[in-house]
Amino acid sequence: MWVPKWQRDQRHGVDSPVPTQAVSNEEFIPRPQSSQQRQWEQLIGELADEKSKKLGLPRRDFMRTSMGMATAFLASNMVYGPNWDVDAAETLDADATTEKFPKGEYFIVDVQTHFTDGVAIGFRKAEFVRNMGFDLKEDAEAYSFTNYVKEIFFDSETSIAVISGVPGRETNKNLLGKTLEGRDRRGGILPSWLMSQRKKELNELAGGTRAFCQGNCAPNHYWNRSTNAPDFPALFEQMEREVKTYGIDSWKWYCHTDPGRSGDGFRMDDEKMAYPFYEKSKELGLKVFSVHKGFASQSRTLGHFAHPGDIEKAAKDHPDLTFVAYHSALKHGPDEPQFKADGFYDPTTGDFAWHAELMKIKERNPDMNNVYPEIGSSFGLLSIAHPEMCQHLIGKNVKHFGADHVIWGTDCLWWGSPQWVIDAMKRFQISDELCDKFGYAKLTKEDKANIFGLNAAKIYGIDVKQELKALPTDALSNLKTAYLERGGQRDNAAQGWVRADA
Amino acid sequence: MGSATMRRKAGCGPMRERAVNDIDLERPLDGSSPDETDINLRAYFSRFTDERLREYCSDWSDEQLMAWDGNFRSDGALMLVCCERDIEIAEYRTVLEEHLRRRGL
Repeated sequence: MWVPKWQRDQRHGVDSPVPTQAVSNEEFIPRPQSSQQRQWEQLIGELADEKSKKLGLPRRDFMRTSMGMATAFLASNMVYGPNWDVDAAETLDADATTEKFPKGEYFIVDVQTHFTDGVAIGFRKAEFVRNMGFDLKEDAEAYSFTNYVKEIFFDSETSIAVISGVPGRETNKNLLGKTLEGRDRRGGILPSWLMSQRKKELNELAGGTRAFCQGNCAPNHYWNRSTNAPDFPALFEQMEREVKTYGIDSWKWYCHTDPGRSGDGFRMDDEKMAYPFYEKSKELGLKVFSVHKGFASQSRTLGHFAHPGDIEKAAKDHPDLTFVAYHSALKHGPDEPQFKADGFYDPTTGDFAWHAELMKIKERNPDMNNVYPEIGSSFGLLSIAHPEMCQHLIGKNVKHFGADHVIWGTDCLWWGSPQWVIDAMKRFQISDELCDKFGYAKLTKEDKANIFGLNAAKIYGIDVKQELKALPTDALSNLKTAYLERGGQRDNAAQGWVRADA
Repeated sequence: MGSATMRRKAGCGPMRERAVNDIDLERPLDGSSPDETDINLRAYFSRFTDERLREYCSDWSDEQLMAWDGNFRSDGALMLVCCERDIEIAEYRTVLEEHLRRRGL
């Protein structure tokens, strides 16, 4: 049985600001918690007991402070080795962390955030929201979005979020040929119409730009069975709707899914299927394509379409388009059974499956500048499951694509509030040994600033100077201040799935 | 359900070995147009061994079937990744029984 991680933690009395095992974002199947991860989890509990007592704080409250977060990273270093920049003083003195990592030091744009439609994913603290001006219905749908706002914007330093699509296709017309609107269009747990609606609500609430949204439409979503080819009139109609009516800011493709029942996935370099889509999108003025790559432990029929090999020709043939390769094409995390297969990860080269192919594409094409590796779930997953691979992930992404091309994403709410992933990146560094051996460069604060948000800002056309001026005084920042003053706290609750018996 | 009960229930199909993870088994038998959920569910069963599949008996309750599989979520859907649709137990059972017939079990 699979349960949301926060449920498992409640049952086991675990309270940790950093997940001590991989959770499933419904794109891969994680292994049960390893013995090292159990050791880490136990150590976090023991250290938190000791430190919270010293400070006279309830343990639960301690775990929600920067001191609790520092404790989790300190415990990781004690189990896995010194991978994270954390001082013991930070576990007892919040000012020590503030001095080291000043709040607001980075402009953070998270290009991979999700909530779900109509599913209550753990809303537990509605009380503070009810009196704070949100105009949301008290149903499961509102809960999940409210929780999203709380955990992304109030409980983390995220400045701007991109609501990112999941596999799903809207139904254009009913059987009588009538064009459907709103919820009648269906489209899965996070359809394009809903992402658009929430983006607008959020920006109206904030009185500025806090959210962007993606559109799920893809070349195989509307299929003409008589010609066995895309139903281009229906496809283009939906594309126009998503760009013009919904105001989407990027496409989100899953080449290895087939909600249109075409019988197959599609390749990004397919001149008959994908290229007409590119041309239509250019005509509509939308040039950003975010594509899921990696994490494909599913069928032999479709799984290979998540391989990044098709990016090369598509990107070279369309230099005026931007392609963001989600997950940096990490095929399997170290917590998946397939990770043990021969050839998946080679510690002598630091290469790992499918990510290495993405790196080779850039090696072969040094002048190709329109492909961006995104690190959602891959950075977070590797940071807790395999810190050495995590260093290879970032080291190679920066070495081959440049620090000005690596894109910040977290895949939260699956992993709870993104603050722990943000903290992990702040504290992240590549070891001297790996730098010497593999030619990686140490990550500077400037590199981190690019990765955290400046790169995504260029892609999404965000005026950073203007936003830095506007964000601190917008309505969302005011709400956040009120929330924190009233004692609002991060839940330390990951929504992703883990085994109940692990 | 305990493993002893599982073993007692075993033997519903004839003893026959065959290769698993066969790409042909990923398509619906009736030739209908599948979506990725249809394909991935069939791929999921194709990775089960004959021995494992022989444990299945059609008189199991839904709860017994979910316990036997062990890969359902607390919301009642099968943990099948990268799919638009959720797989509930009724569809699971139908496709599993179709799969057993195709593998001659």
